[in-house]
Amino acid sequence: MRISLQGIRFAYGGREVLKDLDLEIEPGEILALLGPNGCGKTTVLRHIAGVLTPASGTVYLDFQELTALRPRILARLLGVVEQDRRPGFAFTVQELVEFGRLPYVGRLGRAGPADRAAVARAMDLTGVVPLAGRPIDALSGGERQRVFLAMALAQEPQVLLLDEPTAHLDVQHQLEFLGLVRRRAREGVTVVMALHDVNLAAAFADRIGLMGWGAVLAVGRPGEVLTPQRLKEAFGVRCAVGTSPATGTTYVHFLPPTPVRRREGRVLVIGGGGAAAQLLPPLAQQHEVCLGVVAPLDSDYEVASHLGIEVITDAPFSPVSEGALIRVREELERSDEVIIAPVWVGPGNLPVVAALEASAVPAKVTIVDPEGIADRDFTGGEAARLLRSLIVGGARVASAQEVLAQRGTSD
Amino acid sequence: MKPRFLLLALALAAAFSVVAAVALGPVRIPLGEALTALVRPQAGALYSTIVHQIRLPRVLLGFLVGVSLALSGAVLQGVFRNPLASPYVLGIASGASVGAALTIALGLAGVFSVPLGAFAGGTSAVAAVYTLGRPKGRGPDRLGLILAGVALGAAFSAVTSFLMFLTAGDRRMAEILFWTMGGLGRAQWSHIWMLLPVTGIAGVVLWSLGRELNALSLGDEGAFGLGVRPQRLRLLLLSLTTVLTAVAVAFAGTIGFVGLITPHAMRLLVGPDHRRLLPTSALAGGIFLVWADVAARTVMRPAELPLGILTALIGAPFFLSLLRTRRGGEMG
Repeated sequence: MRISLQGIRFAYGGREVLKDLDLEIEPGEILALLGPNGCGKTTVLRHIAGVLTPASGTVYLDFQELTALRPRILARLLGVVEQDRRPGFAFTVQELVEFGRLPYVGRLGRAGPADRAAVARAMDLTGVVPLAGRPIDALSGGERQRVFLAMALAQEPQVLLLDEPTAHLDVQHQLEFLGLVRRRAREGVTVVMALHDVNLAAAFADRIGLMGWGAVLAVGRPGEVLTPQRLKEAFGVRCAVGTSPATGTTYVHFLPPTPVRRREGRVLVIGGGGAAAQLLPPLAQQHEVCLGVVAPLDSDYEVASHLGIEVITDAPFSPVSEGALIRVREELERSDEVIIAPVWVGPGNLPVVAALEASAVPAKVTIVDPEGIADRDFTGGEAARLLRSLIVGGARVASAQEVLAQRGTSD
Repeated sequence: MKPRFLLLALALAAAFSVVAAVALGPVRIPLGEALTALVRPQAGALYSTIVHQIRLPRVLLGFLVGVSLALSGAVLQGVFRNPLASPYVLGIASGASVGAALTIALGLAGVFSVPLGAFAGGTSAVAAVYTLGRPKGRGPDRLGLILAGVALGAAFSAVTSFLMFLTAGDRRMAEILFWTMGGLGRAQWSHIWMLLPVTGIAGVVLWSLGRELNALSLGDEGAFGLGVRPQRLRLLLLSLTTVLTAVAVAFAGTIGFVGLITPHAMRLLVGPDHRRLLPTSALAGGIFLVWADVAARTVMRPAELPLGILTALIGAPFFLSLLRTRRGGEMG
């Protein structure tokens, strides 16, 4: 079932929660809504559930206006699981799952074979059959959520709306619950869920809607939406984004906040082959950092992309291109400081060092461990000659520890 | 116990209780004679006269009042998702007392005027609570209703006390006092004919709403997710229970505890499903009140105890013992 929210505005009391929100959800996809507390994720779900009516704008279910559908019809289309639901009385698991047939059985009807089959299937899919006779208040949080998923599935819905369904579950039950949900989605059920956990969303959602302050900031595949810039915009927190080596899904690593006494200034780091790996994280905490020139898949590149650092990239295993050199020269102009990490210099990246020697203000340059160049020079002494020339011109020489310690004290 | 068997057992017990209660009293009638008099009334025969003129209307009124109060209690506990709610949670008892006391204090006491005053007082009290117990511009919420019920209930009790103070030393004060303690002493066949259709119709309608009442225990959003309009359902349920309770209170005064403990006890036996809970509570409430009235008529023979005193005396210890056996978290 296709869900379409168009121009939704909504306010609680005087506080505007949704400001002209648009969102399209494709049939059979899992869309996860992410965003900080109070950004309106739950409010969006409640609009799709029909619990709230927008002040303006329209929600469509398969091109039909939601407000035109009676609650009982809605209850056959939509199944809802909330964060935690505690019934007023200790109904048994079987009774609760049977509640899911209320939209079909109605007030005076009797449950027929179709109803019993739907209940049995829902209980079977969620693995709650062994719990059938247990009262709900005797179950654990993970079991309870499976029971309420079973109740929702007994409604045979075309849409599942999940509001932080795993918030109170431990890791194992989170994965188990979302796995169950994903299998329903693969059978054609459209799933919209609000989640707190960015990485769970990245692992289970087909698309992610990143929300901030009553609007959708970005919608798309996890890899497209979950960028350090966007996450910073939405959550106000720095993070590194990479790919989980275990699952191949996008993985977000949140970082502690930057010190308030942030040192200004832009630093160009010449790295490659892991030479700058140790320098980059501390530098990135204090400066705007640019790394050049490295190829994707280079270990320095990995570190930089985790940190959300700007990178001057070039094709691997080939001489530096003219385009990359132009960018290096631009960076030399803009940067307040240039740090040459202890890189291996070969014919491929020699032009970068040459460009430094030719156009950098030597006083801005710090060379890390220049003594070691003898072992890292694959240019027949040309690289060593260029570095010496820089030192003669006024470039500083330091060890990696000194480069960082100097910042620690002056900070 | 299978709920179906329990229901059958309760129905049989109800029939037996009516016959037995008719036989018991200041004049003891053998059970067989009582049954004969019930089945084949003979004009002029002593037992037949006692049974038909005095005992049967009283026993039936007691049964119907018990049914009404227990049903109302079960439904309101469901509406408020709280097993401590009683039929009087919305101030109906104190409102009815004001109505009855006012009628008596104004010297208008009569067979129908007092019940009418009580009915009017009870229903207006609920209407006031329903109107005042909601946040501005929104539907009423559970907590608001309960708190408004408590507040207005206290105010109404004060009015009743004030009316008793004004009529102190007067026969009217005794009448007010007696009414507020509840009793079936003024039972008449006409009362039965008025109460029976109300209890019957309200009972059937409430039972038919049992599934939706179950859904309501998931909270408003949970109920809506199952296709139920919670505000509308709540208004319907509160209206039905108000009429049901008000009619019962109008004829029998404010009898406590039946509506509170009967549903609670039945929930322990048949579980919280209202499709089973409502009929079993109704029958159990009727039976309880019939026997409570037998005790009221016989323990201090020939004097008669006010029924409200007995239900509270029997009910309170029973209720406390239930509280101690409940599972943890059930009241949550």
